[in-house]
Amino acid sequence: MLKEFIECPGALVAVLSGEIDQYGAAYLRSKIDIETELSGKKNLVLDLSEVSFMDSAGIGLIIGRAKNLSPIGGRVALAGAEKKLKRILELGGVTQLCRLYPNYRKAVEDMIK
Amino acid sequence: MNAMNKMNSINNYLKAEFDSISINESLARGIAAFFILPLNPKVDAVADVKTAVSEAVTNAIIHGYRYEDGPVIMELRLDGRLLTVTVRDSGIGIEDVERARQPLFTTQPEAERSGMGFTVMESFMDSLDVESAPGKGTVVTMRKRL
Repeated sequence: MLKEFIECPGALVAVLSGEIDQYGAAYLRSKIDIETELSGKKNLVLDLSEVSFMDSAGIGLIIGRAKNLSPIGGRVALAGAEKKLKRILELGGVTQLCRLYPNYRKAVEDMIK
Repeated sequence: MNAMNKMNSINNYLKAEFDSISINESLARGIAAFFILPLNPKVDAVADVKTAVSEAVTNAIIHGYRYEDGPVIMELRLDGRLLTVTVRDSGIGIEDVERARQPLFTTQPEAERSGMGFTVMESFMDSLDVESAPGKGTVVTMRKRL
């Protein structure tokens, strides 16, 4: 589920919550892409601190956003992922593509450096 | 120690049949989580089972039936602390199971499928067996000691 968007200097933050699976992924994808376009930001932070479950549909979602932003010099960072999410993120190779931060503020700080 | 902690070993069986629609992914993993709950499993083990079930059921819906109607049958069996999960569809089947099991292989890249479904099942469970043939549907069997 999508809780809210937070516009920060240099990055858009999407705060996600609940369970991310194939059922919700398509909706999340279009909402995030539209909001990223509207905001004009090239960096995206996905706040996962309230996400309780994620399967490989979440991996597809994250990698897809990173692939979209990479040609314009942007990147995706992940914030607040709990331990149980880290296992699937590592397995899916996401942690090699996106940096993990303890919270979205740290991610944004680092991205605008 | 409460009664729940004493249940170190249970023999039980559950069979669920549901429509191949995506909202049933969460239903199926929820059923699996409740099924193993009396064993008082570790939080990580519950997350592993939920994730693996979610992948198997998603595959049945989006690959087996390609979003069309059809029954998905999930069977859960507990022999002591050994969980066996079987997810069965009567969909199009898989032409090359070995290839489908390779990490990052997907037939639907445009849908941003990561191609990690079988890899997740294999990694999060102790064993994974896939039986399939074109037109014959697919049976996924996974085991995990809890």
